[in-house]
Amino acid sequence: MTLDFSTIPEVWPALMKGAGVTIQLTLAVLILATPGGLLVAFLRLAPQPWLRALVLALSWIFRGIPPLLLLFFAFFGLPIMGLTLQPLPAAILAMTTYMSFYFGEIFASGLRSVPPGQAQAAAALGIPAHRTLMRIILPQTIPAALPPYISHATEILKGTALAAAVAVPELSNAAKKIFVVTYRPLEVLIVAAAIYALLDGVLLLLQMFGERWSNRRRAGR
Amino acid sequence: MPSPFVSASNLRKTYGDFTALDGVSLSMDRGEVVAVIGASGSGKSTLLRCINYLDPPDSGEVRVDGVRIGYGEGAREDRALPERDIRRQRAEIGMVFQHFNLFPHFTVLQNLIEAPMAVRGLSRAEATERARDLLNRVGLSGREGAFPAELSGGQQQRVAIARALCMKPRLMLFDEPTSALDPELVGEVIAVMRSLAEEGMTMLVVTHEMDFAAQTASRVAFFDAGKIVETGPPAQVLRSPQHPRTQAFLQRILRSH
Amino acid sequence: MDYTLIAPYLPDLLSGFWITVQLSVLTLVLATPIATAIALGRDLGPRPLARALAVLVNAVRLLPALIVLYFVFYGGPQLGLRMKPMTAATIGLVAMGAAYMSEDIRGGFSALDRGQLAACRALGLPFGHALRRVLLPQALPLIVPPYMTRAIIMVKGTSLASMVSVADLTAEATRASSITYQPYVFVLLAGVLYLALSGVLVAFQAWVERHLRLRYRLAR
Repeated sequence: MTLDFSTIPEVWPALMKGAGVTIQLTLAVLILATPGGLLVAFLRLAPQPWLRALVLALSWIFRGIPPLLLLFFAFFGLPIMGLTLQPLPAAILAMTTYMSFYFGEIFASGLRSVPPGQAQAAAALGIPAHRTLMRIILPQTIPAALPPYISHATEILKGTALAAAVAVPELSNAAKKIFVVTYRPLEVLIVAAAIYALLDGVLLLLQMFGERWSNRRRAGR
Repeated sequence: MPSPFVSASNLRKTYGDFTALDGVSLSMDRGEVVAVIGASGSGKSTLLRCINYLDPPDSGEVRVDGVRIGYGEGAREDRALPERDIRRQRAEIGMVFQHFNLFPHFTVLQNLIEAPMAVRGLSRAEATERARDLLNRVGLSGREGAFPAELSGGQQQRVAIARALCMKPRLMLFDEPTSALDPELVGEVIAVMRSLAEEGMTMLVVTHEMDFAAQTASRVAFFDAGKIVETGPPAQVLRSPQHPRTQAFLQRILRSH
Repeated sequence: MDYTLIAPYLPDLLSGFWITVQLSVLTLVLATPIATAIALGRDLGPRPLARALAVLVNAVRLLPALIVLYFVFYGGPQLGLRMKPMTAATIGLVAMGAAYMSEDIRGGFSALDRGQLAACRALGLPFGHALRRVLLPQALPLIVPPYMTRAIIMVKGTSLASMVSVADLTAEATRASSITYQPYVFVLLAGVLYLALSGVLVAFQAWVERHLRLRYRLAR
């Protein structure tokens, strides 16, 4: 059998629209889960043991349950609590929640990589705690946290395909809607795969630059 | 004229743009101890790795006791052997590494008996007996049950020498055996090598230990930029070197000591 | 909460769980040897093979798992490969898992001192013997933690099979939820079952690590 890409131009706008939603979803989750991850990281290192234990348990639960199940829960479960969300916000909410816990792990180990002497030195100099955090500690966590952060960004991108399950019209959903009509899944899937690969490529490029930057920063320490 | 016990002729080996061996020839008689000296990165280690075909040379040939390494015997001498058969030839040649390369998850005894059992088909009892013998010889009897990490560097290197000897090799290659050791541990390894030389083992030793080269080697070869530029008795090469590169190298060594 | 409403769907949930267990075991059992072969081929194989494997692995790793499953389930028939949902899901999940897992395995091997292989070859040890007795025992303790992390990700990933008509735990939980409007019960129950599966793997990991420590007494 031969591949026939002649129908692609016709369905191209629909695929592009799907890709647009995929990009939106990726960016939204990336932007929201980053502060979420910081919050989780701080709570993971909180002085109160019960708080640490609670966040550890939540982290274990949210990272242990299939993301797909969490999406279904946001879509079917929240309405019962009186919170009915459109598919896209529901997907953003679910993905942001579990990605925050993944980021939290990354940021927590980044924070642990800063030697305790740094905070002690800042305290000895009389620098206020919040300023120590923002100006001294956080900037030093970036070299250690950046590479895994960006590689998780590609996980977000690939994870957005799951939103198809709750009827978000993202790229893989758009592809499926097309090929159930055209009966030529391979061609559409190949094009969709190429678009995903392209988007991945952008993130991988960022990762390359990020790693180079991180290595320089780390070598300078 | 009888053919030499070991002969390497016209060995060439390049890695990308880097020429490690640029037409190296060397022959050794049975029982001879040749010390190879020269600056780091000059290709000395590559020479050893080409002789036992750990890294096959790009061209040139190696013979040990008349047998061409990497090729069939007699009428089949022009046929390159598969790795499986080269392995059998390699087992006849012992090799000692700069970083010992002991198996960290094995005890000293397990390190020694593994290859004799797997390659030579010795029974555990035979291999163990041989291993104990050799441990005694390198001054480590009683340490059979120790793990490599529990030993000093000098002890580890002596175990590595014993491990190579367990295969009853006909030729021993030493790749900077004392370079990774603390200075105070060098002596014990040199002593083991010296006694091995006295027992008549044929040895090719890449080393920075000029004392060993001067006192134990029957011949010294100076290696520079992929070539042996000068070879001769230690007294001649070390005291009155002919080649300007050798002179410069030895002067640097003298000054740094 | 009305138990009489929920009860009729519990057997379905259980059968979905059983499918998920089968899918998990099948995926792990098939992906592990394939991943090992890929890792060895890439690190020690001839260059053309290493290159081809690198391209294949990285291509798969660029794609969402769902797209890979769609390729097998929907694309397969176009090539004349018609298969049951369970078969298609297994093939897709194994391909995904093996690609990622091969990277984890290579990571373990790359941490090994290259001198170990050189020493084995200098002693004349056959490669298989060197692999079994010297290289693997040293690489295993390094491979086990990322391997198990990957295994847990793969078990969670089996939930994607629900997107290609496999009646697994996720599919049954969603179906029951949407019929009964009792998502808490079913989704939470499914979540607990997934966590239990992960828990089994974590316990297994602890056991394996202890076993490796005792067996090889790595003094490092």
